[in-house]
Amino acid sequence: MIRLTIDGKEIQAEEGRTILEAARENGISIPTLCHHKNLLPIGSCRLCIVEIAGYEKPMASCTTNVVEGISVTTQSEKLFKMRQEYLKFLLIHHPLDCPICDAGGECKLQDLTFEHKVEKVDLTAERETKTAKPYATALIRYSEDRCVLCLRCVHACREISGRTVLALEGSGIEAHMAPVNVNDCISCGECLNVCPVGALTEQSSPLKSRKWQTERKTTTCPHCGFGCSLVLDVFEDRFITKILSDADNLPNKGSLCVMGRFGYDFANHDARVKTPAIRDNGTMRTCELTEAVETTAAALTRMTKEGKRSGFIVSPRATNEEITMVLQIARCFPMSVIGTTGQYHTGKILNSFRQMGIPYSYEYDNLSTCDLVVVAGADLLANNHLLANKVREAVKLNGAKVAVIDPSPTALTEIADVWLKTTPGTDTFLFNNIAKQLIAGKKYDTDAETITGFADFTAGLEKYGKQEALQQCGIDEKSLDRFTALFSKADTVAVIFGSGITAHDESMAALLNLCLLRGLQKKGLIMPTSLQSNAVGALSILTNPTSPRDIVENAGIGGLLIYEDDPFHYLNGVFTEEAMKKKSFVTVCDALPTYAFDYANITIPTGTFAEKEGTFVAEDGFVRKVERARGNASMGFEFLKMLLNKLCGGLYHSEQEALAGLYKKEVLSEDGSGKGRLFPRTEEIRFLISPAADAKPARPFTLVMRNIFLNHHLSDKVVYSKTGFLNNPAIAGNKLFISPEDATALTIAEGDTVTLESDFGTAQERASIKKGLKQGVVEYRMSKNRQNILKLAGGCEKHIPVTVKKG
Amino acid sequence: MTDIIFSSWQGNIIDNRGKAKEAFAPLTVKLPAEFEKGSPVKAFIGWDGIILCNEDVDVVDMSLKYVEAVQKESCGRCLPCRIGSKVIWSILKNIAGGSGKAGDLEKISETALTIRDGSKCQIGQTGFIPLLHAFEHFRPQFERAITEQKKARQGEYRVSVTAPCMSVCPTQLDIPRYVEDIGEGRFSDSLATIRENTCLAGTLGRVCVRPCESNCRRANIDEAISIKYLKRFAADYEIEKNITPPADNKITSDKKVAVIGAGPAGLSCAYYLVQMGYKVTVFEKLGEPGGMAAVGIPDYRLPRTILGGEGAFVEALGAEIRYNVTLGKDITIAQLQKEYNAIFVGVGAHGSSPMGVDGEDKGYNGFIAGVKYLLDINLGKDPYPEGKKVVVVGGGNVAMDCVRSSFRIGKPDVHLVYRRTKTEMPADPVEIREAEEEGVNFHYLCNPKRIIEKNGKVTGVECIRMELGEPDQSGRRRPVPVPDSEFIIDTDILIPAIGQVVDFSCLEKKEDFSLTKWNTFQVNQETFETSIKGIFSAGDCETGPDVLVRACGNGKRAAWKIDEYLKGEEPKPRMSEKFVRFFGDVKVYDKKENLGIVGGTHRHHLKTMEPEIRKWVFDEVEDGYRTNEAIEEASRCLRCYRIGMIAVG
Repeated sequence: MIRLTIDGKEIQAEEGRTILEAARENGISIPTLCHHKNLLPIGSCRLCIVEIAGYEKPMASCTTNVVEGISVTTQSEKLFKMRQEYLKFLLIHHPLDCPICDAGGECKLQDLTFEHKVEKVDLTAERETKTAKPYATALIRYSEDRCVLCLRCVHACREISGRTVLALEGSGIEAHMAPVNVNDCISCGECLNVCPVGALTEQSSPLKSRKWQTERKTTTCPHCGFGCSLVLDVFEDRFITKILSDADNLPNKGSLCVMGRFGYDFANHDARVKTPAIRDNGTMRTCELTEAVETTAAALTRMTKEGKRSGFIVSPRATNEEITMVLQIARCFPMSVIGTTGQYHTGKILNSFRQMGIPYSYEYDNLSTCDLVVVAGADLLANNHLLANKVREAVKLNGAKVAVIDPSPTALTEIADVWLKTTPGTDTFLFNNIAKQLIAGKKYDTDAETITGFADFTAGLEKYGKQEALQQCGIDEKSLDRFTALFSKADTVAVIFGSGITAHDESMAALLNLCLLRGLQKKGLIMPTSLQSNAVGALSILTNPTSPRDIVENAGIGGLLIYEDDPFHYLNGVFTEEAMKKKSFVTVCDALPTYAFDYANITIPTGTFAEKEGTFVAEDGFVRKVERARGNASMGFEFLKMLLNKLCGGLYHSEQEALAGLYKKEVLSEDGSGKGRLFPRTEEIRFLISPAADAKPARPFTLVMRNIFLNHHLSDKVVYSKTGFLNNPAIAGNKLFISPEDATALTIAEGDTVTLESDFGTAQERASIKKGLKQGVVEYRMSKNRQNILKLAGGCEKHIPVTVKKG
Repeated sequence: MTDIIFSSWQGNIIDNRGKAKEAFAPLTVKLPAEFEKGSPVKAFIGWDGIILCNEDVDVVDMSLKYVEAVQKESCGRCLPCRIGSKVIWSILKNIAGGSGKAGDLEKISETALTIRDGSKCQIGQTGFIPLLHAFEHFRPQFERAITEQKKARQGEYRVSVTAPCMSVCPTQLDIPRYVEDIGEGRFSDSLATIRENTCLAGTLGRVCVRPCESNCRRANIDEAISIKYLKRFAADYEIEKNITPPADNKITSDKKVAVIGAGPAGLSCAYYLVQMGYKVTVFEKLGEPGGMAAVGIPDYRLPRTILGGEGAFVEALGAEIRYNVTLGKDITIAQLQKEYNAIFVGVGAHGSSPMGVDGEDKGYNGFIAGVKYLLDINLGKDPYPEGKKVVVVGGGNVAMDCVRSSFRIGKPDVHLVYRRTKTEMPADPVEIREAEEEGVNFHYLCNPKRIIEKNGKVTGVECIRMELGEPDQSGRRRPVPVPDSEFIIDTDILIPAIGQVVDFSCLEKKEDFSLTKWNTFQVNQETFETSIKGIFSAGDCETGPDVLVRACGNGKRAAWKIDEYLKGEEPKPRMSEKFVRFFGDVKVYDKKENLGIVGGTHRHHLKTMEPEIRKWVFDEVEDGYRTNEAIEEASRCLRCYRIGMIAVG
């Protein structure tokens, strides 16, 4: 510890801390404009200057480290005058349009001007007049005249998002921030988030509000499994005007992705389902909730009487409380079947973890202590964007190396030290060969030898030779060697894996075995992603659910209750439509109309994340709170409550009771700090004998489906998020990608029509050429109108063998 | 040097105004009389003050133009300098334009102090020092301009930016910029910055003697920043992240240039020539690029994959490198003269200097010149497998390379003989330390006298003890033999590594060229042209054995001259070259400067392999910086850019 004095107060600070950090940790405030917790020191505003006894010149406290024995003064007449002068410099050009500025009332420049008593500015410094210019994304407005050139945005773009969109251009008084590489923009809004003034403001909300007009509620993002904390700005208890985020909000520290930051407007959408409706002679008419409850209850009871089963499909984006209620309702009918789309990815993961005795939960921030981060089969762009940010943070703060295993360029391939472009579905050859090499080179955790199944596991590795791995995976030896070297040498390794791995049971087993061999369950991180905000919660409550496809297409299931899910979003519509038509009743509960509504006898409005009260379990295994930001209740929960009450006399009367039930049943537990998390399991750890790899597909190409589980409220039948996701062609919009090599071989040019054929159907799409994509792989990025490409799907496969033809 | 009428340089006031020439105060600063032919230096204004040599310079105008230069150079990264300099300029422009107001000077002074004391870098911190000096020492001129509303007389000026580190870099790397690029996490930008001035980032990042680090102002408060390793980081980042460097074939001209030797000078020359559009063919004797850097520097210091990549980069830009082509054997100068419009000779200094001891010309087995020894090892051969014990003579980097490589080819008993002490050793201190760690036996203050042999094989060397006498021309104390102190070291291998000379055997007729008294190519120092028209030379064969970075710099400059030659222009120094020379005279770094700021940070060191493991293998001894270390190290840079302006008319 370093001892020093700040403003006469003797303090201690860790070595390497800056004076500013040390001061703030000790409650001493120093004015700043450019400093931001999540960014490396910028040092552009110079307002944090301090004096150090014995040294002639003031120094910026944000860029000066603490030194033993120094005596620092943060407030003096000289410093005050200097700061005042700097603020005057800024105010020469900064327009005084505070009354119409979105940042008014929460603008750092406003606050500093007030604190430093700047009353008038009698200086001139000619510069070119700033006019409105288009920004890198249409979601953000850039009022260049208000820019104070603190450079936070430029740094955030690069450091947090790993992009190179913004730069400082020009010099002297004409220096300015400019979007220089617009095509690289992913509309994450990190720049907007860090802007201390009103230079960057949100452009998506049609209704603007001021700080003092809104109520702010902290809640959890409803989209992916990362579980970001965000703040809703709610105007008059009815309209969400923007999403805010604070650097203190964990785990995302104020960062969000395009969906989290801008994809909230579906909650404001005019199409929101407002009242329950019931089908009468083929047409829907509105009805009272009680009638919907009565009718659904009657239909469910009728099924049992007729000897048929009822199917329940619940969204992994519903809250734990809602899922518990649906489960209770299902349990009223012993023959009923319950399922969730979370089963396709997270369900497999939780099963494997249970079988192998690997405890499920991890802390994102431990990534910053890792030397190597392996990212396998997870693109971390549309989904789990924040996880990519955390990896970049590990690189920035700890110099971590990054290894990517993916057939397609991902969010992290640009900073990857090694990128293994494995053929989809062949990763088992890779992981098993690496395991074999680690054992041969004695570069594994020797404790692994005591883990049950070690002998069988190692014996099973015999057949996984290096040449076979190279050939099966289609990778080069140099890259494999580099990966193996990095993986065996690194002190602390984190493994992040996504649906590219879970798509094949044997790949996941091989990867998890490799993690155990390297001892990552003790030192290191095993980090499965989850695709939906409450997939881990859903799969913990509904142990061993059925897949939605098996429910929908099961002729023995006569009726369905679908809670906030739409099978048409991810299943082949041809089969689904046929199956749905045969159901004698379908009750669909959702916040916005979906394809499933067309087949529903009863529709029930539910709440969005803004109206719900409840919890999610994020992919890290910790509980997140969903706090009601507006309105009094979610009609979805009311419906479930009344239905349950009707069927079996009401087990739970409120969300709180439903949550308490999960603690009681040891689904969740509270850890020492009071944080809720998954109930820790203590099964014996064991290696899993890898199932044999899938047979090599008979078709020459593998179609990789991206974004299949994107929140259907953002874009499905209708694009409910007007601004959120589809404006940026770099990240959104239906698109079929093909590698340049394959395009050349098949004489396909950008935009040409191609025909894809799978075992289940054919589809025509326009092809787009993507540099870096592995040969033999075609990739489809889904958003709305996904039914065309889903014609190729049988169930809900991530990888579909296809034939590709021009025309 | 010129007379100085007034100087406030570094706070030492010389004021000869109104004095007779004989009464002039003694000079504390040197200034060349002419900046370029026909342009006398009338005044110099810069980071440390004002120097006036000619009274007809209008100080008001000069101050305005200097502030203008500061404003233009202000990078925009901090607000006091970015905006404040324009505020000052706006007022000063009025004064110089004859519309100044009372109180303007006070306002400027106040603002100048706020900028000086709060700016992020030396542009803002020093940019207004000469202005404050001008106000102090030339106040009447400013006051008159205001009261008489008098327009200032416009002068003619030359402006340049420098920094202490940059000013001594033989290849003029923009060090503060590439360091800042790293500090801001723009690693590829950093490499692009480095590549503006050299194609050998990875090589220099490992083996440069780094004059810049001895001129780093950070050392005045704690430790110099690790400029060299940051360069290595930027270069390695591209390799590690598998980034393809932006390299388009740039050939646009049909003029052809032959470059002989793919060493640092030849590669640098080719690199600039292709970027200027010329068709370049490089002829290299060995099978790989790098010249002395490839064969003289072992892999554990500079892996040859690094040089290979840098050669490939120059090829990607359009240069053709023909390997295994020897001048004098496969090609001749005369042939090349017919085929090419210009020739660059960069054959290096691969010959070995004789020690002047008995028996060295007898060709004994086990007597191997240092350069030859390293060449063999680098080609994968053990130069003398039956020898187990090694004695190397010399104290430079080649000697260090010889001793350390000996372990790596399995020679367990390695000795070094040097006639002075460790303090005088010219080798890089890091090399010496690492050689010590690896277990080399150092014999200081002794010198070989005679080779001892048996049946034509070396068996030992007779040495004599030395002591240090008076300093010689190099400033090092001259070693003098101690009478009757002879002793014998038994050895199988004796390696002289006391210096290299140019090997002229590649020339058909060496006499065609004028040579210097050190037996190197004589060139016109302004143009790098040899005594034969159209044939240019730089690198070790021109300077004699010298540091790698000088060969890079001179190779680049020679390319500029070849360009002028091919365009039929009179080759002349560029503005930047003139300023390099000028700043060399003025001195940009002041070791005694009190920075007035707190230090207390330490440079990041590289992780090195354990001596006992590394000494037997050719794997690189040092691991490069991790990302976070590079960013932290780069953030220590004080960004000491300074602006110098010369009044010439």
